[in-house]
Amino acid sequence: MNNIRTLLKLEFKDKFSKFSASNKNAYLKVIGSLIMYAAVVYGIFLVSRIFFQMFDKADMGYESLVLIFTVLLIFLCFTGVSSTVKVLFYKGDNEILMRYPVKGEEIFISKTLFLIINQIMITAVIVAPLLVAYSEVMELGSDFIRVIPIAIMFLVLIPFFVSNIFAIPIMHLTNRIRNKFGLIIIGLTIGITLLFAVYMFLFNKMVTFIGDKEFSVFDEGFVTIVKDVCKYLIPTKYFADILVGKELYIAYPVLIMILGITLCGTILVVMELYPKTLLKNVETEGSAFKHVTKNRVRPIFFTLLHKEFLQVFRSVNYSFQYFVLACAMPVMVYFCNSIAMQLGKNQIGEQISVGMTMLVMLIFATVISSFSATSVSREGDCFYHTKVAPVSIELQLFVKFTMYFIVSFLANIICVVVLIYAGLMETGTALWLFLIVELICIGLILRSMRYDVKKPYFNLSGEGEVVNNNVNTTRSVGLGFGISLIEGMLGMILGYIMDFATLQIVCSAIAVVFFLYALLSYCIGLRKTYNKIAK
Amino acid sequence: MKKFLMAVLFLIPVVVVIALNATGQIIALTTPVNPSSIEIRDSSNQKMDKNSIVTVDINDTEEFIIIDVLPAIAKNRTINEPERDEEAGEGEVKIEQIEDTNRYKILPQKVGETKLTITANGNVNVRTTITISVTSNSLKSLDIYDGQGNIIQEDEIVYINDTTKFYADAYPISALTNAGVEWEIRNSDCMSVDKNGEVSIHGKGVAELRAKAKDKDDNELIRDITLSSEKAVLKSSVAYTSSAVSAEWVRLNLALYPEETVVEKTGEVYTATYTNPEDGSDVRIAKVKVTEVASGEWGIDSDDGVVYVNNGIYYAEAKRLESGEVIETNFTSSDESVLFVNEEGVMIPLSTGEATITATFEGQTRTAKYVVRDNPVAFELNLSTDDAKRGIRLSRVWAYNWLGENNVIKNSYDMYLENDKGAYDLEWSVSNPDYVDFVPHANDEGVTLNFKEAVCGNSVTATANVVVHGRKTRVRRSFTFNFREEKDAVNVHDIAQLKYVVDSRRTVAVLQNDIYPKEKLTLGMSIYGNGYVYHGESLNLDGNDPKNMDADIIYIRDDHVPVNPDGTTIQDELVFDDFTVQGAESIEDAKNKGNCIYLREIKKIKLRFRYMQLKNAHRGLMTGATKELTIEGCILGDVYESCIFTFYPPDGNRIKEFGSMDYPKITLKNNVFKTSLCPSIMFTVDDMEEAFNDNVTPHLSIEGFMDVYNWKVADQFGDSIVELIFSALGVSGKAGNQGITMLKDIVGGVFNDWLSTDAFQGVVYTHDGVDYVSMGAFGLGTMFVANSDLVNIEEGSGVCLSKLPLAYEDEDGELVPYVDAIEGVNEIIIRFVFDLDTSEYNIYHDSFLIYNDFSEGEPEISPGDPVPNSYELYARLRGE
Repeated sequence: MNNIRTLLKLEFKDKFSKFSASNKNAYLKVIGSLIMYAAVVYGIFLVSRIFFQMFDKADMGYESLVLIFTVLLIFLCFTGVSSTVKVLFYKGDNEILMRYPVKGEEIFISKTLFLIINQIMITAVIVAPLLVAYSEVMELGSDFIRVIPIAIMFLVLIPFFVSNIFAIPIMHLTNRIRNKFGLIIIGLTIGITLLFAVYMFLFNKMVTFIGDKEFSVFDEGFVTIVKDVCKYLIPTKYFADILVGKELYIAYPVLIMILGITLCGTILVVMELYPKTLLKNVETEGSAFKHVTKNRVRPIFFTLLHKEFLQVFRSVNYSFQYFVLACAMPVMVYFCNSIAMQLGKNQIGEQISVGMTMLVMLIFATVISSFSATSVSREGDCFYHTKVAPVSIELQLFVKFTMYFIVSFLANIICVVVLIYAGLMETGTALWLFLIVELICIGLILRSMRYDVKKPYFNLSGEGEVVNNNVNTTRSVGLGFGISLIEGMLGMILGYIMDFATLQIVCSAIAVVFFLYALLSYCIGLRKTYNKIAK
Repeated sequence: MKKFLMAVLFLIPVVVVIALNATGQIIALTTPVNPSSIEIRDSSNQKMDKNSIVTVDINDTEEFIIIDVLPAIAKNRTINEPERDEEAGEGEVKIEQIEDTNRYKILPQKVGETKLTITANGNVNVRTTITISVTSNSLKSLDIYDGQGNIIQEDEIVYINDTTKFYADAYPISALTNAGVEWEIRNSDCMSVDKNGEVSIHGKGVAELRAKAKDKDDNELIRDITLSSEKAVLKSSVAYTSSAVSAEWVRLNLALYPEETVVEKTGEVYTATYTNPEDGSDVRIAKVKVTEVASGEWGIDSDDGVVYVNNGIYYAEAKRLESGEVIETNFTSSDESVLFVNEEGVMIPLSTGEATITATFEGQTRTAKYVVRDNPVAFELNLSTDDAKRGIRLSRVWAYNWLGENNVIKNSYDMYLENDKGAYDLEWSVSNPDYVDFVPHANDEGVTLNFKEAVCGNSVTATANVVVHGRKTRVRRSFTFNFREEKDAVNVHDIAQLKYVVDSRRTVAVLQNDIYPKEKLTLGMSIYGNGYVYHGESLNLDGNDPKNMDADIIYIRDDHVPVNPDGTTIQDELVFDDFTVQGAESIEDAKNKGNCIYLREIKKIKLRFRYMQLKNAHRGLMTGATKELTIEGCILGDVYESCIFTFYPPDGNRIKEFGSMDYPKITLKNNVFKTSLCPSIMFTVDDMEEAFNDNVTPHLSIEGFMDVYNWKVADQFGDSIVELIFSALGVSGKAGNQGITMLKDIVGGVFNDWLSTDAFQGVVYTHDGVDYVSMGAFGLGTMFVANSDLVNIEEGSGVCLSKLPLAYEDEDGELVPYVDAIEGVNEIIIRFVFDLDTSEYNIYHDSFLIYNDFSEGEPEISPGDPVPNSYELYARLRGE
């Protein structure tokens, strides 16, 4: 027991190691974090309230709860599998822990407890305000509130046990496809696009609903389908049932039964497979696969470009951060633009269409450009190679820039083709827009790279990948949003009160000025700044 | 990092919406936003288009529609009182706004269909229509009519001499229950009637035919008519028998008066001749076709096989052919979405198309084909009520002539259904056959209207009625054509047609569409514009080329005016009526986009501009040496330089030019002047040398009202006058000439100084702490004489005139500061530009300004007031 408690403390210390009681800044960070969490909780409450009101207006109040639990359950299962795999199997400290005089079960129990506690906290923070909003909208009494903790417990434990059951098989599956990078990118792109499409659908409905809350925003056909589907969403409908007090004689037994079955499954899996898998994993840590490549002689530039490409392509993290978002960008731009255009035309008029499209394209371009804010940080352990390699720093960085430029160019040109093909914009205007967006994109890439050159954040633990957000990325996104808003809003205003020629001149001028500023600030003192970098 | 990026992705739409809202707020604060469209949604929040129909019960006062005037940031989002289309139906409703919301209650007043036109209060050109059908559960009337659509009155005796079909018209049809109309023959055995109203003769006599209908309020309506078979010769014109057929058989079995009837076989039919024994001259003939059939043979009685949607129920009946006995069978339909039939034969037409009804009896099958036609509650023609209310005049005129292929003159016009799917039947009529007749189209429900010369100067209405079983329903649409009196007037639809009409020297063209010219149009004829737009921007004048400030979009010349052989003009005046001429899409592009209209020395005929709009060009109207011009009910402005730019000959030349000192004359009546850089009206000169020290002002009469929205901040006054002078001098075109620019700065300074003198007391208006001058009309003095005695301003016009002396000395007798400057300018212009002796020229002639009258405190139009685009303004322009 003592070992378990000690190991548990170790886990918590590892997670919250940055907090130091003697450090004043740490307290400020804690307070800041608390304020942020409070804001998040309140934000969830507000959004949930609108969501439930919207569904309630269409007489789908109960169904909305079922749908929410379905989404949460699926999401928690996915994240649970991911967390379980990471914490129980892939975490770097396993190799150390296995050398300690502790049993495998004790390691498992401590990690499991850590996961559960963590999950309860996160789930409670997200789900509680959501359910409180539901009770307010549906005017349910204290009975509902009293059952919330029970629902949360079921919601945490069931996915947890399910994820424990599936963690190992999924880990094996992941290992098998881990080198199928193209497949991973395609799969993630489709997933992101679908997710975004659903989000935009809901967002559009919510914005429409906020405009006039007297009407349902769903048509009858949709309501019928949702109601029919929700009848068969087991077991999530029972979560909703225990909250609203419907058919409790079925709901509770079913949920307890599922809990029991998954618990038994977990115990079986753990007893039989966990230590074996852990040990096997220690011996073959990480994603190991053989890929025979030919040694090809390429010019230095293309060699470096090839290396950059592989560095991103062969990393799921980096692929997601970059290629996946770039591939999904045209579709996301199309969805977002279509809805924003409709809102904009009704609110202001057709004259804002060019400015609106510019805003949407620039904002999405910002997201994909933000990857360049980790261009140096991603070198990680290999950073010093860049300094000793017989290639100039400028060339190395130029290669990185070239890759970012190619991807952003392709993403932007596809966006523009989609806009022309969908009849949302004339060809000449679309090409001009492409030039503007591309100029700003290049500027953002250069600024982001410069941020990272000035202060990179190397990750030396785990797989050495940059997985956490850092200040450079945040700054890059912030800058991009700022430029997008300036260009976009000016474009809309000028498109309305002036003529198209003035809009073109002003927006082009801003783009050119930003580009020149970015170029100059990138180039000036680049080598000196780069040479100052030390891990 | 993934979570961060995902969070950013999901924040994007939120940021976009916030940016959109912020942009809307900024635009609304800085720019007056006019309505651009109207969106109507029903009570389920579903968007409606002009083909949508709202159905409301007469007793329902809770139904509402949602009317949104877009964009959402428009200042004025209210609507005008909806206009009812009198021709669209008998229904009446009132629309009442629910508090301050965008919901409007529909308060039914009268059963029937009605069409309302809804316009935005802030912009009357923004309009939409909605059709409302007021239904009721109570039947208001029940009529019986025959196959020709004639309603039969109760006191009328209908003589039938064959199997005859009668129809019932229950109004409103929505009140009829599912039982439909029941038919009954009363007080006689000589006739019988089936469920569909088909009367069969069995003998001679008189009978009462009753139609009975129950409505949803459980009220019963009855209609009786009297039928007589006494004039019939035979029982029917078609008969079946299993016996051997002969003339004798026909006489004995089918003749109503067998003793007095002689039957002969002629070809395939039998002809029966009846002679009245009491009156030998009363001879009646009837024919019958007798078909031999097997005993017990049966068939489906389908009449003409045409049924109508929304016209109650029909019955399919299987009958023995010989006896007419109805037999019990089962019925099925080949397409139940078109024509539904239950087993008992009750047919409900559901949608247009064809369906086959099949009956099965004793192992045998019989079919009958039905065509289902529509009975719509509303429809639209290619010309609707909206099309009849155009422009400031809110009406529409037509010319007697159209141009067909190869510009062949024709006097016909096609009218047809919008979205004609051939689903229903129309019957056309005209209000006066002396003015027009019509020929139905072969392939659709439209007609070709052939107008006759007598229609010139008159109106004629074409009406299309939906027809059901030969009867005109209450659903109709009409369009009234108001014709010009000129027999040679031509309707034009495009620039090619207009050019043809101009070249053929006709007196009048009537626009029936927007016009997109490719080059300057030179003409001398009247144009009635019907509110259409003459798009000068399609000339693609280069706004960067200063020469284009003098380009003309429409050029009116004296020598193009059609004349009689004796040289007198055919018309008394040239009229330009109710259309818009614009040089560019917007005021921002107006510079160097030419003159909307240039009048070149029109001396032989009067000119009248009425309800015109000239805008978005360098100048609106430019005129020199035009004898008599009336500008009435026009909206001029939003031009670069000035709305009306005149350069008349000086007094010294007027006898030579016009034959009298009473000319030139300009009459301004009920006009609105919007913004321009220079004064809205400028009286300048043509030949400067001839005009020095001479009067250039015409006889100007301002009647009715003159609304001037052309306010200038005091600083802009000098620029405005300078631009006027340099334009008059013809040197403004030399953009880039530094000397001219310097001269403009000097002269501008002079006039700004001039503004501060006593001359402008009472002219400068202070509004919100800022000094403004209203630039209505400016008569340029200085080197020329601006004779304000020739100006007559009617009281109540909203403007007044002040003389503006260019004083040499101030009130203390000191030379004013700008004396040197103005004398310097005088030297430059007189001596160096015109090479004249400056000592001969006085540069201190008074100018005058006509401006908004604020002598009683506030002007009627203050600086910054937006120009309304409302029915009220249009009514004022028309003098109502």
